[in-house]
Amino acid sequence: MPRFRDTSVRGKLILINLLTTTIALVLAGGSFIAYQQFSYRREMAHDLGVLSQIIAFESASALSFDDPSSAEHSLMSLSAQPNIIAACIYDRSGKVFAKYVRTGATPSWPRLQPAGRYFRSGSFEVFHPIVLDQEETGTIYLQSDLTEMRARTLRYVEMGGFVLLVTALIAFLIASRLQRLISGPISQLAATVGIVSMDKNYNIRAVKQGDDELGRLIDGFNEMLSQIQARDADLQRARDELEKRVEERTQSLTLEVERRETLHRQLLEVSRQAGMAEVATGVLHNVGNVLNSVNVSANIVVEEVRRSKMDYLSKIGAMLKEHRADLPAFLTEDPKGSQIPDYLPNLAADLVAEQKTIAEELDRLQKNIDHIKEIVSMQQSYAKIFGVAESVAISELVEDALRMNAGALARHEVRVIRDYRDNPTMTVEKHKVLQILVNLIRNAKYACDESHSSEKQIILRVTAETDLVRIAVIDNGVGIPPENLTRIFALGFTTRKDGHGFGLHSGALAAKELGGSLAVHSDGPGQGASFTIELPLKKEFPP
Amino acid sequence: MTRIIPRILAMGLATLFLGWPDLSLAQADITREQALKAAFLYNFTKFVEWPPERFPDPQSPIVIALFKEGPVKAELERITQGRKVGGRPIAVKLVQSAAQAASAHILFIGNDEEGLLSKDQIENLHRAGVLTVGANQDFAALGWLITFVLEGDKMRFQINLYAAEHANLKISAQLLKLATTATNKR
Repeated sequence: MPRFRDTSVRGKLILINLLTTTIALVLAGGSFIAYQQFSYRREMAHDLGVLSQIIAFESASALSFDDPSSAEHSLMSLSAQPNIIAACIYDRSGKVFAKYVRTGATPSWPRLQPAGRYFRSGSFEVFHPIVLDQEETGTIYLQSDLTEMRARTLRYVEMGGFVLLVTALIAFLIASRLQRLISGPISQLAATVGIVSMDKNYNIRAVKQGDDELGRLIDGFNEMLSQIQARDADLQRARDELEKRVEERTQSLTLEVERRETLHRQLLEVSRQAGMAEVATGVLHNVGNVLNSVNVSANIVVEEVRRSKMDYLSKIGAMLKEHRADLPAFLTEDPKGSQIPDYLPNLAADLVAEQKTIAEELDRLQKNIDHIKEIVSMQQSYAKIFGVAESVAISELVEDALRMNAGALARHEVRVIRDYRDNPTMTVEKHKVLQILVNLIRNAKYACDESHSSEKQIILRVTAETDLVRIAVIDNGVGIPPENLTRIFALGFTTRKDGHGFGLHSGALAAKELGGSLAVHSDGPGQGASFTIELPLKKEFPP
Repeated sequence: MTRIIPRILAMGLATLFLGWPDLSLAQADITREQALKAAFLYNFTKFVEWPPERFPDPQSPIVIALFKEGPVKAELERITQGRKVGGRPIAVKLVQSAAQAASAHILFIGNDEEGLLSKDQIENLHRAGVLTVGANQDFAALGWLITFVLEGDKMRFQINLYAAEHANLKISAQLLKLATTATNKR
């Protein structure tokens, strides 16, 4: 049997109607029957009371004059009352004095009991005193069966049941007709809802039949459908627009990406060129410096040669040639000649010293020229062997970088402290490291310069671990405020008015390209700064 | 103490069995017939109505007269002791003459006393409003108002309606229906 809440509205309405009608009828009928029974009992009690009074009056004399037959004659009148099945009269001592039994009945005679009415299971009994001249002379007992009451109750129940059936039938018919008023619109609404949810067709509308709650419900439903339709349209429009916008955006993004790639390539190129320019500048500086030394050395040699005592030697030679004959005399007597033996060793010593000076100077000259040659070849090497890794000692790279900045460092009286705790050899693209280092050293120099300190210094510290090498450039310059530490490697960030914010950015990029990193540390303004390059130590090639 | 309780009990029992005007034999020296007659005499007062002039005042007793002492009188005295009928006490009197009996309400004459009163005297008594009760059927012919009749072992009575009317007495239908015969003869 389906559950009540799952049955249709139509069924529910009919059921509710039937149930209400049935309950009302059962309640009414039940209370009517109960009242009937109650009043019947009261009536019966009253009737029996009256009867017993009459019998009592009738039989009082018989009792007084010991005439049971007369008393029985009085009792016989009860035969007109079919519901009385037995009656008797007790005398004063409680003995049965006279009795009456309805034909066919087999009653049981109770013991004398106090006057009153007694409802037993199947009978109703009355004990009534017989009073004569205020003297109780006996008791009347009447016993009535309840068959009539039961029959009457049964008739009522039957009638009630019949009425209930007929009423339920009528109620059912009426409910079946009237429920359409309510279930009709609901069923229609349900059907419409079904169509809407099945076909996703929001164009149809439910038809309103009245202006009651159902009518309002249908109005609300239709309103909802309209809203859904409108929203669907909006959604579709938004979706179309979004697609278009996504397409556009994708296109522009693609363009952007392409543009960025191009830019990046250009940047790398610029960076490389910038690095090379950096190197070239360093090279030129150094060459210039060395050329100074070369010039000095050349001047010294020229001066030395110009004031050479070689002339004295040729003069002595001429004198000796002139006095070839009297050479001994000349050497002993002549005032001039006698000085020659003493003079010659001195001259020789002077010439040796002179030669030594020149030789030294030439040596230096040669060295400087070699240096120039070296610098030029270094430049050539950096320029030529781009992207080729070479095996190199770190300290050499650092020294190269220092050399490229040597002029500026000297000019600004910056003390350079070399702290090479380790000096590993590594295989690396030299020019990239050099480019970073040159840039870092120049930055350090600027930082020191700006601090106007009297003790400007740069520490270059090389430390190595098993698989990496650290090159730290530590200055005691102006330092870096904390808020700048994070963006110091960003492209275009600079604190110098003539800076382009490119050096550190390309440095960091280069370090990354080498598989390492570039880090900065500063305790704040005026506290100096340290930049550390970390590079992985690749397997060393055999020399 | 211990003796008092049984005595009280005995008295109570005696009252219970002997004190009531029931039909049981009250005394050893009284026959059942005599006892019944005494009880009937008492009960007649309940079903008979005398004319009001027979009573000087509302408390005047109903007088039952007898010519002789005997068990019936004794029994009657016993059962009417302290009882009232219609608010009146009952007095049992011994009379010597018809004139004396005229002041009574009921006159009872025993079995062997039928010759004491003549028919005229009886009529006079009736005229005076006396309910005359004869001890046996023999009195009926003499015109007595009520006469006892023995039917087997049952005590019954006859009523002379003529006499009753003559005596100006109202006899209850309840009493009449118990009478074996109710004659209307002189």
